[in-house]
Amino acid sequence: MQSFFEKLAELLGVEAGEVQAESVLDSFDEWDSLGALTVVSMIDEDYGVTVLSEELARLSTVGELWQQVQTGQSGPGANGA
Amino acid sequence: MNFTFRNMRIGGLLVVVPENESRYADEWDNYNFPVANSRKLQNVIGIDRHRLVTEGTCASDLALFGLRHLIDRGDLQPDEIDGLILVTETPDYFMPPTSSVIQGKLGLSQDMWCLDLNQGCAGFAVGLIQGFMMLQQESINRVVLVNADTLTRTCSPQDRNAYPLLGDAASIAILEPSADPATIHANLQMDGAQHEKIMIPAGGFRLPSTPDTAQVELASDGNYRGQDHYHMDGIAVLNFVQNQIPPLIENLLSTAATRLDEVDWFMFHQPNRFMLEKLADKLGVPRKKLPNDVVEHYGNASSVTIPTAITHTLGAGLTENTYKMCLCGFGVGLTCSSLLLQIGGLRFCEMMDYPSAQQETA
Repeated sequence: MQSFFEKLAELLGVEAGEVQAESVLDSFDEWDSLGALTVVSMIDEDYGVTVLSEELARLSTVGELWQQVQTGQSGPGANGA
Repeated sequence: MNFTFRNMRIGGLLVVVPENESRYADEWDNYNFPVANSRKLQNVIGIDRHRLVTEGTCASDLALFGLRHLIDRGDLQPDEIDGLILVTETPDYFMPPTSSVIQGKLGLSQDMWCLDLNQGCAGFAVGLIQGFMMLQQESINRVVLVNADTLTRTCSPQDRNAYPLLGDAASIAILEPSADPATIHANLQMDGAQHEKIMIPAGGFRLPSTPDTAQVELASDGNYRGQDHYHMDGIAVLNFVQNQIPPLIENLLSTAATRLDEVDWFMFHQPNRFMLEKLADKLGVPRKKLPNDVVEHYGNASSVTIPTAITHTLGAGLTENTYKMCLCGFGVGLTCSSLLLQIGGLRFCEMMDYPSAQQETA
């Protein structure tokens, strides 16, 4: 989980400590549609999970996003990472 | 769905881009985002400059400019054209077909088949499949496949999600019989359940354009656009590429009994450099064999990006050399389609500018 937060911080251009489970995604300047593109792509590459557009729209915090990644890794069709 | 074709080839390729160029760095003030954020995206996503038509220029203007150039130079004989396919999402009119407009303005024979295809970023691949199917008829010996779009005219200039990535352009590909018996393999997949992911909501008969639909509003993604404007769910398109393209290419190559490393070039639709780098990695293709710099030079001109990637990367070299190429388009529909074929020994393979002062009349 810690490394996920660090990767997010790097993509969102903030200090590692600024990304916490309770952080609201929309509160990051770089969390716009193109910024989200880099995050969804990282999750696919590093965790083997596709976060769908509809799923992303329902998530509000970093913790919920991490939960989604874990669900994707254990769910049907998961290809691990 | 899979297709095969034999004894056919691409005989020549011309791309027409507007000479009018806009730089991303000059557009930052239009967007509802901090400049530092916009600047960072330039490097991450791969955005720099793009070619846009000036007011009033239509897809058919770009196409006619290129077709007349080829006819004047003797590279295309008007009386030899049996089929004219125009792939566009930005036609001159709802009716008649814009291919008929082009036929009329060029004074082409009446004994021919004009066909408009409403396809977007998969439109070069889909157009090739359609053109090769036409060539299977004995009465059809030469098909001109025109891909032309002016998407920047449909897009809100305050939409950073789309505007800086888009461009306008046209391409002309000559399709003709060939003595080469090598099989051309193609496939396509269509997912109409996702038709809302890339769309212009208003302006058709479902939701006619009104002053309300023209009104620009702040969308949930932080961009300003109206219902008259081009809208793309970028994450949905990324999901589509992540999940659909690797199996599509795998199916194409296995059907053709061809290994990945036997393919010289992967000429793919160009959404942006970032997505193409990730896609190359996922496919296991060296990044240098999958060109990805069309958007930062010209912008994404819908179905014209594959011809642009080919002419930008290989240019006149393709008049002498021949390569095994894998083409792949994906987008509006949502549609994805790929082809595996030899391309080379072309009579022409080049790019030209469309002067801003040039204007057709109705």
